Amino acid sequence: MSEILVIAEHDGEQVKLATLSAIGFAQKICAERGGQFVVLVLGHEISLIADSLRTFGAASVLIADNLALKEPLADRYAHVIAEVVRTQNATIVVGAASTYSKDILPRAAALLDAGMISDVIEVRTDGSDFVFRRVMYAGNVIATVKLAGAIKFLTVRSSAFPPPAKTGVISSLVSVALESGNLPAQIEFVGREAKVAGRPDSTEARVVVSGGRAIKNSEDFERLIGGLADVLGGAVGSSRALVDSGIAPNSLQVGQTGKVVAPDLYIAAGISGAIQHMAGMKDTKVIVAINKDADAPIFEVADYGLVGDVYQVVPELVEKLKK
Amino acid sequence: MQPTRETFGNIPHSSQLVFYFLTVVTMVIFAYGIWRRFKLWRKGVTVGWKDLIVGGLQQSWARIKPPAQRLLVEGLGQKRVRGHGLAGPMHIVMFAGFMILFLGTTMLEIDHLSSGISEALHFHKGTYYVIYEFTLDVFGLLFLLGCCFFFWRRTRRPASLGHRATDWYVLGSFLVIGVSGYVLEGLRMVWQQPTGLAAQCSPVGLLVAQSLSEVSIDGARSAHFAVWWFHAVLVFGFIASIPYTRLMHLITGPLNIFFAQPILGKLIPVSMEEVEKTERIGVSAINHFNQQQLLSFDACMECGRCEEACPAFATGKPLSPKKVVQDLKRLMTLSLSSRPKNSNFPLPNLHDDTIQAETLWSCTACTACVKVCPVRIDPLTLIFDMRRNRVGEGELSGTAATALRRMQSSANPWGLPAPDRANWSEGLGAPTCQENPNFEVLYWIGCAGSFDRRAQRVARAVVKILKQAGVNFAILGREEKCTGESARRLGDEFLFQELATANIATLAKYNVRKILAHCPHCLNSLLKDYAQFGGQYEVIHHTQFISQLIADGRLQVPSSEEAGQSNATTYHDPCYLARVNGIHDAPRDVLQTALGAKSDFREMPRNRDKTFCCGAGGGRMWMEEDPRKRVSTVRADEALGTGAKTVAVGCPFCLTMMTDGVAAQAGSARVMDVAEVLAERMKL
Repeated sequence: MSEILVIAEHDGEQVKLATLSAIGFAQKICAERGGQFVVLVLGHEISLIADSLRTFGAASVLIADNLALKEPLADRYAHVIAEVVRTQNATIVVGAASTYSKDILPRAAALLDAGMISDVIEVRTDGSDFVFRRVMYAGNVIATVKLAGAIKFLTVRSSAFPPPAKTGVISSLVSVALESGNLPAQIEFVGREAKVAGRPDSTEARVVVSGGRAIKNSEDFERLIGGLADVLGGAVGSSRALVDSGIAPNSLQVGQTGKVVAPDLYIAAGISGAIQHMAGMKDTKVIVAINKDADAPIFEVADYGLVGDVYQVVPELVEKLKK
Repeated sequence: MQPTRETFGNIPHSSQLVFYFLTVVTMVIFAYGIWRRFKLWRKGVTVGWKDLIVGGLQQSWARIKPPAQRLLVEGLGQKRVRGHGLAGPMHIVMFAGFMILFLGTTMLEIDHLSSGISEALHFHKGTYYVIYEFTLDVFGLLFLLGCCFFFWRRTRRPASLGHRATDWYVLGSFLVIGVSGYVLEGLRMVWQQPTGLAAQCSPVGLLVAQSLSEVSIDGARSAHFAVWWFHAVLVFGFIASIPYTRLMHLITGPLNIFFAQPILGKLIPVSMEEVEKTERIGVSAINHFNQQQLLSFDACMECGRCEEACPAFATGKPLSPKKVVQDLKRLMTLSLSSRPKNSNFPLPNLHDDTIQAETLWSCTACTACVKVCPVRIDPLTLIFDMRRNRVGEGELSGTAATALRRMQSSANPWGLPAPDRANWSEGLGAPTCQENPNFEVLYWIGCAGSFDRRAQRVARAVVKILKQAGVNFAILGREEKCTGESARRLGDEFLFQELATANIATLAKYNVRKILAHCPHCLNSLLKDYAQFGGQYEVIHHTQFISQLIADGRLQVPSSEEAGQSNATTYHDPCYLARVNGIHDAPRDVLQTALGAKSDFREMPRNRDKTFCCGAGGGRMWMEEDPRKRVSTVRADEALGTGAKTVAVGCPFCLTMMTDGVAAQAGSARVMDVAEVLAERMKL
């Protein structure tokens, strides 16, 4: 029997995609070992978010709603999580492998004197215990580890566990009793600087649409690349050329000196396929290339290729997809 | 009467005594100045000077002959001073004048001493005297001409030229010494009244004498005496100031030319034993450099040729090879000189205080600075030595560090799966060593050719050409690993050695003797780096090999009808091919053949060993570069400036950088490897 506590991560409006993998992980353990899992959402005015988590078969969705929890500040979040673990008798606490988890979970684990491992990509039962496989040294090593102690904290890689299956049962909503006065308050929230774009991060997204040198200005980049990404619910990426010329912001660059992405679908629009770019998207499952030059190296790695002008092809594609 | 003149004529005995006394004083000041610097050089790591003279006479000579030849050709012959506008030739003019005057003065003293022993040994007379006087008279003019030029040049001061206040003293005293020498000669002729050949053999002196003809003989005598002392004191001042001014290069320049490692593209290996013994890798303090390197700091004249040739400097990066050398020189003086005991002034560190990290990582290892230095200073090896330390201390982070990790984990810098290494050759019929064990030549593909989709086309073009010519070749396939070239040049010596050792073992397994490579970096590494670890191969570039195939008639290239604008082609020389390994004719030959008789081949202004880097060498391929001014963009501008429609290259790094550069300039030129140009023409 396992009591698993899943920590849901959200942006104040909706649950982060990666959290679903953590729920998927919990479902998998419960299916193999019995037991149940609960999901904990922390924040302020989060009932809609909690609602969206009720279809995955959790025993309950716990809501820790308090003005003091409006921002994910590690001191109080860790405190609440530790309290919930105690009251729920949870033996496994799991979150998505993210900056959020890196900040909060180790503190909660420390409060409970529990062990923690990050970046789990596989789990196996071993008698009453578990054997985990986790990624180390920037993916160059996979360690097989056991975690001692009654309570185990871990984070899972979103690419390693499938999103959870929906169940017919609707989980109950339970409020966590909180007293604002008892919450630690060593950290003060000063402000938040967020990217304006409401699109997902390219390293997390299942679909990434990237633009290359064929794009002539920022407006076209937003209209064509952003437009296509939006109809597919995907993230936006860029080749170095567009970053150099100031058409796309630095944060979008995919490649050797930018972000490394591994989506299910990567659409390279107007990208020729220099090795520096390919190094950043080599683990993509399906690559679609759109380029005027039929001879472009990108077509050699693409699963689907479309020879044509980005300016003509992409609007047509967006139109068709909208239907 | 035989034409001659009396040494110390008109100079009283007492003055002569004072003169010799001052000579001794001057020599002491001079020797102390040299000793003062020599003590600093000695604090470097020993370089085994004594090895030069170990063994029999013949062996010693074999070792001493090449540096001695360099000394003659590059020191006395001024070979490396040539070029650089008028400055090169004028230096040679001034140097010739200086050397002849120096030689003349020495001969005069020899004659004076020997005739003191016996009148029979007196040779400063007759025909010898006439030739002597004439030569010195003419070369004195050359000396003055050079001084005037450099005086003028220094008033205009080119940006790359270093300057100190003492430079005015040096040039000024040279000028005055030269002019007063002629005045002295003229005054002598006035009081001595030589006639015939004895007068005509000093044309300039005679001219001065004629302008002084109104001076009485007695007046000339006393003026001669005064000017003689003036001239002598200036000469003493000049000799004494050699070790304290820029003139030091008269001593250190030739010394450095003699002791410098002369082969471009070669690094000094470090062994694990050394690291265990010294507990450090690379250079983190000034005395970790070797003695020759410390000496080389003092050989620097700040002529600025290295700075002008440096692609990093040209694109606004915080690197000037000259400044690196000068900063290190300052640090050497500061930290290796004996300090007053009560000095509390903290010494600057080598890293960060003296040499910034950005400076070290800006270098593209293009070797232009080493190539142009007239006295063979090697700023590149200094940078490599310091990089080694930074990497060893874990100070390299970011994308270049990632590339190093990937070289280790996947044997290629992009971290692509090692088992995919031979995928590019599928269906091409390129046999591996296992499939064709009796191959004549091994085709080394390199990481770019194996993994970069663009460079794979180059590898395929080469294979098609080899097959067309019926060459018996093989590839290593999945057994090939990254050569480690850029790891070594980034400073990760032991990662390089790990990769090299593995590759050398594989090459030994197949008894490889001759290697063909399309990547100049692989070529240089296999040729010069691997030789240091027991891998001796004949390594040739694909353009050399193909050019030989054409010369041997093994490749039939259809003649081209296409001509004129449409196939205007230029060729970008890769640094490690043209400058470091001297291969520049072969790629041009292949291009000429491929483009046909009516080809429109256009050279870029900087070509052959004066080529300008693409920006990717020395591990820069793995680093981000400020888009506002990239080396590749500068070079692409130059290439597009020729009006060429095809920019041919001979290196996969150059291929990437030039493609990017041309695209960034919205140029329409195609960037292709020489082999691709040929394969296209042959319709392979």
